[in-house]
Amino acid sequence: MSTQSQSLGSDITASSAYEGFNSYDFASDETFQQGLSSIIGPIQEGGGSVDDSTVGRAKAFYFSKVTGQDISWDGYLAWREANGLGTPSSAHPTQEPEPKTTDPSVSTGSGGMDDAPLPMSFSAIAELISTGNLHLVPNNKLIPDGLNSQEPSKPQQKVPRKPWEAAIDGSTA
Amino acid sequence: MQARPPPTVLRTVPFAHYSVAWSPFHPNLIALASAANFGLVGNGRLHLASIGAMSPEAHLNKSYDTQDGLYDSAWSEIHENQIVTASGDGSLKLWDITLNVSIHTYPSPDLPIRAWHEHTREAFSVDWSNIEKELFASSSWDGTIKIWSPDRPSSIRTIAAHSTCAYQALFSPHSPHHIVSCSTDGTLKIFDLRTPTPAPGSGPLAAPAPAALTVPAQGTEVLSLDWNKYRPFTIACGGVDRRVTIWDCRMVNSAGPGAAQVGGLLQSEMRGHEYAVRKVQWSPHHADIIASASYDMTCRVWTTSAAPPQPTLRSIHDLHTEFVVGCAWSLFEEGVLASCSWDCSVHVYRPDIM
Repeated sequence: MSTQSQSLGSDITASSAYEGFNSYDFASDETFQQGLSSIIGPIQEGGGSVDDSTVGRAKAFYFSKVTGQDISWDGYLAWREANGLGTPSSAHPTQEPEPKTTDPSVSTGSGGMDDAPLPMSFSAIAELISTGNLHLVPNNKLIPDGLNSQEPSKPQQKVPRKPWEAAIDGSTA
Repeated sequence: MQARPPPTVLRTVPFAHYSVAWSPFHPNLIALASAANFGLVGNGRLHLASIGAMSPEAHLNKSYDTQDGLYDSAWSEIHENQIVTASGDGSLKLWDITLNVSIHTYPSPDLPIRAWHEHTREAFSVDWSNIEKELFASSSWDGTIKIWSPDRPSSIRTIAAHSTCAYQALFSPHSPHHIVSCSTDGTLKIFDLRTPTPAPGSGPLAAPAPAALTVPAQGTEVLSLDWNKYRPFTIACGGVDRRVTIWDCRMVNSAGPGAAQVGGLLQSEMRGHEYAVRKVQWSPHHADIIASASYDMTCRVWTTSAAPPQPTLRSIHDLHTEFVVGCAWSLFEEGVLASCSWDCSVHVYRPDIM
């Protein structure tokens, strides 16, 4: 009984800490922003790219230090998953919103492109390249080399015959 | 003119497409090879989507990010969940589409299950053999064609096909011995895989491999080609001169191994595209139907017959708002066509042909 309530209590404490972390306004916290730029500045100057995990870990470290509530970024991701919240939206700072394919406008004569966010124009990108401003080019993040460590699936199906193979078989049968 | 139903549309902003390919296993599954920033610089993305002409819904199932733009993809013919991609950095990657991004590995992206990096310039096309199903081929701006097996760590064979860009290479659907490529140099070249590859030369000055048949197809760059599925050794190609031309290349088969001919018989030509033709593909269901995609922002369907009347334009799809760079016929739904574009959208529809 006491063990049960203890573990329940600790879950509640951790959960409320993650709720606090989840709603914390890092964007308006100047102390955090200054600290963050001192971390990611050198990485970016060195030509590296800053991934979401780096920023997330910095947030978790800062939050733990300021509030005294010990949390981790991995713990936060697990907490979000356990609560059905999915991937944190702030973890996709460079990703464009995915278009809604169920939008009725997809059936219009314009091919549904009316409300599409406009990517940077070809000439604008060419300008950035020719002026040596590659770091300003969007969608140019660092993807690690390497192979997937997970076990690939096993083939279960035989490929259907192609239409022309079936037709040739049919005509010679 | 009777109004056609609108296409089913899937958008992948900000990734502009380079090719579309239907799964040979799953009726409504397509793969889109794409690149951010028009392929000039930046990441690539392989999109996997469920989409059909009869359904207004298109669903993006999954995507994989790559360092450099993706120019082409080819589904495995022996594994329903695997697909190979060709990238602007010259690399080829094999993906298993059942492997998912997990919250526990986030933000690490999903990685390929195999990768090869032998091409010294952009890898621009990949094709899985429909006859020797354990083989696939790639072509590159480095001028070579390479033959691969997914289980081998390096290529099985390198053919120094052209001294300039080899834009596309395709295995014959009828002969296990033949592969055809097209190039900046204006030619189609058919190679007989029974002819031994010359000993490796020194770097870029290596002697080109002897082609069994060289077809001086067009005066300028030939960007795309396809084998007719019902008429062995009939090949269509398209490129910068805006024409689609059809070549009877049966002479390659009668001459036997070791021959190196120049020729090909021009059977017919299709004029109408206002800019370069970027992709051609014959119907998998009909000997006389071909689709062409162009920088003029249209995808057109033609009927071709060797005898008069000459090829006839049957349909123009003009709803894209940028270069149309790829088109592919459904293997399962007869008469259904997908076209993809730099406007970051793929359209699936049933062109009004008959």
